[in-house]
Amino acid sequence: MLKHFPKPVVFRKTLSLMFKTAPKEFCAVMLLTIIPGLFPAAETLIWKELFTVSYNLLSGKSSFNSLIIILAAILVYKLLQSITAYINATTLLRINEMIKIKMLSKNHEKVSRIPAENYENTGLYNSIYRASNVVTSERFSRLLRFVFSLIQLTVSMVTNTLVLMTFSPWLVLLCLVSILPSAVARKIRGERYYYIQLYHTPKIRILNYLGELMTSGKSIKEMRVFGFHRYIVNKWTGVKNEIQAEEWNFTKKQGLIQIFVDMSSILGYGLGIAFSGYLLVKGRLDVGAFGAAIPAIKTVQGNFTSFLVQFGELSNGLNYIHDLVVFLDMPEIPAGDAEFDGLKNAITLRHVSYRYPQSERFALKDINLTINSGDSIAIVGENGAGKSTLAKLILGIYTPTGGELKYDDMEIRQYDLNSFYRKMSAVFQNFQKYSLTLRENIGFGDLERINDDDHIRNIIEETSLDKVYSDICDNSLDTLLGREFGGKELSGGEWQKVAIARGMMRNSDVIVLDEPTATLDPLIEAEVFNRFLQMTKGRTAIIISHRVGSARLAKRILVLKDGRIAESGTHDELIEKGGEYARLFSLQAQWYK
Amino acid sequence: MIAKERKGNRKYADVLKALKLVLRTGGLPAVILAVAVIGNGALSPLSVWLTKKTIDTGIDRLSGDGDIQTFLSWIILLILVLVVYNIRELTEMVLKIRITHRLRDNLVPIIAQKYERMKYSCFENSKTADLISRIGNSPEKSIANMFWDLLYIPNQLVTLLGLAMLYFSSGWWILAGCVLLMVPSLYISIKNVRENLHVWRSQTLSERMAGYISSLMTGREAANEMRLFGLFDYLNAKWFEKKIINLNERMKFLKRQNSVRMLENVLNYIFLLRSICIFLYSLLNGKMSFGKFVALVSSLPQLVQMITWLIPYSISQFETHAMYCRELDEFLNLPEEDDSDRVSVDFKEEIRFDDVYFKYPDTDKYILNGVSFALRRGEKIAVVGENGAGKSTIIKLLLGLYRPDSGSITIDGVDIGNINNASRKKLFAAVFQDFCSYSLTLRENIAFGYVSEIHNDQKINEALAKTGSESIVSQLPGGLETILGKVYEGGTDLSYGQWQRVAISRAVFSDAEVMILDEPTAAIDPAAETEIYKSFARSAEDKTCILISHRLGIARIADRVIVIKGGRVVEEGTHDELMSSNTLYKTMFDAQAQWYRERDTEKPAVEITAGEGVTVENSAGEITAMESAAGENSAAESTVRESSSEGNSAAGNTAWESATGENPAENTSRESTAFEDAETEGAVC
Repeated sequence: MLKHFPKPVVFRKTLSLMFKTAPKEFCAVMLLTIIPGLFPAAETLIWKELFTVSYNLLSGKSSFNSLIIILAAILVYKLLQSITAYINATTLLRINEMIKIKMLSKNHEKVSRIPAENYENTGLYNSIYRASNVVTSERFSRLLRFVFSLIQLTVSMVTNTLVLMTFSPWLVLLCLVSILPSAVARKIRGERYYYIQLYHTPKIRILNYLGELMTSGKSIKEMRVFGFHRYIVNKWTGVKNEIQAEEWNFTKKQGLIQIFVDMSSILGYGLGIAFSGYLLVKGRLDVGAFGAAIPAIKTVQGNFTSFLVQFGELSNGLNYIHDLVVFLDMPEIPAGDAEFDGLKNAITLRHVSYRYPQSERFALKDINLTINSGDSIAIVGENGAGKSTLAKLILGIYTPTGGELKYDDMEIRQYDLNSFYRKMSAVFQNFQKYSLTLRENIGFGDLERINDDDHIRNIIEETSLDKVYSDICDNSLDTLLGREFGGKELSGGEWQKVAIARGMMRNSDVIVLDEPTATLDPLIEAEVFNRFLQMTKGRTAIIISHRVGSARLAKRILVLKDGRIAESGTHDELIEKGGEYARLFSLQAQWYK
Repeated sequence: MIAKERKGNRKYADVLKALKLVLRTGGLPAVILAVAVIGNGALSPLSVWLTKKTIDTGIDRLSGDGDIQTFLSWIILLILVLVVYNIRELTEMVLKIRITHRLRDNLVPIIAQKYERMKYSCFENSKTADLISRIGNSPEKSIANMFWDLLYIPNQLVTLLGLAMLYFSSGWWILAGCVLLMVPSLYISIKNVRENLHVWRSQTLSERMAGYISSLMTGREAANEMRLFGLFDYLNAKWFEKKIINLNERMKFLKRQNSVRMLENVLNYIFLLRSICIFLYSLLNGKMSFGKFVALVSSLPQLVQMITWLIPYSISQFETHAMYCRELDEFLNLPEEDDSDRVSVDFKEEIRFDDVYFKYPDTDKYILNGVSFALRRGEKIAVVGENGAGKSTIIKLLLGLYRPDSGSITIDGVDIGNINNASRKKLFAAVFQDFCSYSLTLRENIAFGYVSEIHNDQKINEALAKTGSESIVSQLPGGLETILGKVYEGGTDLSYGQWQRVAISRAVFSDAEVMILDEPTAAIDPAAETEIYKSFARSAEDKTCILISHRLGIARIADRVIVIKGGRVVEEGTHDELMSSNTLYKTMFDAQAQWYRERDTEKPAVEITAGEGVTVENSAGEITAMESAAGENSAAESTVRESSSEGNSAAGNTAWESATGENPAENTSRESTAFEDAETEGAVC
């Protein structure tokens, strides 16, 4: 289902992405990483010189001047090291964070271009989760550093090797051979670890989900009333046990391998020292060089190992980053370029059918419908009849699987998406309760006017939110709502009114009201309905309501059953017909007679 | 001053407590680890000493004094130390995982029990909710990390001691210099850690908010609104700004801290150079062997790093851990429900609210202002009223999730606060307004109502049948074992209405005496809605029932209606009683009924709402205009009248209503078949 990219492609794409997203930071990291690569070799040389000179001083073969030069070199070197450390801890850290933030922001932008219906299969959910994990993980910023530190390491490795070469070429060979098993094992472990992680993602999500159940007020309430707390705890413990057992087994096995391979590099080190000793005894190495050779062997070994390890890590890193590249490559909403400047004549649906991604069943079948500009239409029907799906198709949030859906004489996807959405509005059934300010909660309906206080206050009045505004929010639009961040909490009905206000905020041509009055109390419900009709006068309104009685306020009623239009007409026509509508109507009416 | 000292003492006490916990639960592995880590501190000075020996014997051999065997044996010893050093890493890793496992096994029950007993208000209060999420689901990792970090303090001290012994013979002043260097380093490190902790804590809220904004953009819930309203750019900018502000603030601190550290480093280098010079002097004076010179000079940078960086860092980490320990302690001391002195109670007579006042913690507004009413066993009451009037709060108090500020709630005279959890669980079942949709199996979703009966398939099927949800099971691929929701890959998501039916089945499954149905936040279709209230009522036929609804018509299936306004009971009585006079209830009922009334008898909506002091003149006109467009059709009218009156008698004469005897007889002969009639009614139309 998802594409697979070869590593070089991932590598190229990621680097160019990073460069494009944060060019300044990219270059800065490059400079700051390569220069310090020269340090380790310098260190080896300095210590060697120090020991040689002091040994020679002992026998009077050296002058004090050269000693002073070396001591000065040590000081300069240490200062440089300190400056690098400073830059690493400040500038480099900041740059890394910046790259992370910019990349995450890029991810957000990408999500905005992915069709909403993709949420209906779990793939997208997981992809987003993994892609942002890639960016926030150390691994991602390390990739950039890897690239440069490979260059850095190469520099350091070559210089160090050259130094060691002057002692004896055999030492270099010894270093190289002794670290090979360790490097190979590390590389294998890296690969394996990635697969373990991958395997864990669903499990970890479940673990987090169960953890949330244990700590969120909503579920705690039910646990208290029904008493199934223990059950959740046990289940959570079970999943955690599974995950840890896997990690434990993995660690044990890999640990043993690691012991053996590391032995080989230690053996190499030991042999290196012994060989240097031999050279010393044979007089082919002076004492200073011998003293310096011992740490140098270790440094070169370390250089070789980290070179191979980093190369392996780079390749593993690319395995991880693959998730990000796949995510950023996901198909986007096809967007046209025609400016949409409002509905002139009619919305027409011809043989429209719709199937959710990954689903076999058609949610809507053969829908034929014409909605004239300015008409009000009510859609009624049972659960799962396809009412909300139809509304989302009309709003251009979903794209029909078959048939054509035209606004005037063009399909929705031929219009520029932004200009199209600007003329649409909706109050969704699962409307959002933003834990943000009242201004944002309402102003989100029309961002261009989010700072137009008068307009927002008008909307507040029209949707009878005055009491919320004056009492709860102390007449301030910038009052934070929602308890999540310590704001003012509203009741369900009040939240719904806020959602309605949001829908009313924009001057749309078409407005969809999906079950708009579900939790309003009777007095407000009647009022809001009436307000709606007044406010949407002249606009094309599509009302989905479970209160069948309210449907008659619309010019035309559409009855959906099993994804098809079962009947349509005015209230009286449909009652007379005695079909599905009449059945639903009388079912509800009986409670009010 | 005294308070500060006590605070300091408490800090050590908290950490000590946590350490004891690790040693007790970690057992042998913890002891081995401690010994190993501390012992390993000696490896580093040992290898310095061996290097010295190796070089010295090598030089001896060079000058023909020593023999090759001694030289080789020192090399072998040096290699052995390295081998031990290597194995150490691995054993430590293995031991650490073992200890973490043991800690988890020990801590999870404690934490779980805490969650179970903690006062419900802690979960809704944002401050304690923060604490709860910080302590989180893996305290074992934090505690284990603390143990490792604390172990490194003695480890480094051993190393330091070892090096000190090596250096001692070459001059006590080096050690004195070390101590002098350590003082400012330690001070700076501790100060930095405190500062960082402070910054970190001050940013939690804003970081959480950034996380929330990001989840709005990437999550499924808000996906539709994000796209339709074009909110991405706005939110992305807002998110970005928050992140950058936080980053800049953190960087400000880091920059200052690192500048200080740079200055400090210069001091250290001077010390380093001076030490080298002094060693050189000793070497040239013949007071020091060349091997020793090489060994000491090579280990000098390590010594300086340890003194100025590692040891102060380890010690300063103590601050972080102490903070965590304090929070853990705070968490474990969050107020609990004490269930030990409580009694069990059988609900025989009545539940009574007596002048109950209540406001949510940390708020000023009273939600309940003297609520009084009684509920007799077997009775079915409907609680109706405006949104925000306090209906759901009454339920939270009844369930004991919150305590009233004044007044009392009693069951058969026993205060609800004195009733133990076991009997409360037996007594109540609720479908909350924000009921949970568990991303687990259907079986679990139902059986959570009575979890010990989870394998009782018959009972589960009965519960599903009672709520008319058999169709949900039959359309699921795996039946009861189907995983629902979106968390598991391949889980089957249900529609809202289906989830709601599952939630009701859960309540039905619980067998509780008092069934509470709070009005759901979203609606379901009319047919299903009728079915749900009917089946809820049917399954609770011999039970006590509290129905919360703004659908006043449905409230008629209750024996009694309680109307709540402004946090108090304003009206109480049967539907007919309330309808017979000019009540708020009647106003609200008429407002809803208008949707189902025929045009000629319909009152304009304006009059209804006008009673509430809201003027809607224009909309009334609007309605009439639309209505007249609908045209006249007398045939249709009469059909509707016919069916409506049938429906009326069916609904108006439920078994319970007539049982209370307060219902002016309308058509009592039909009562026994009330539900069946309502069903056939629908079919006929």
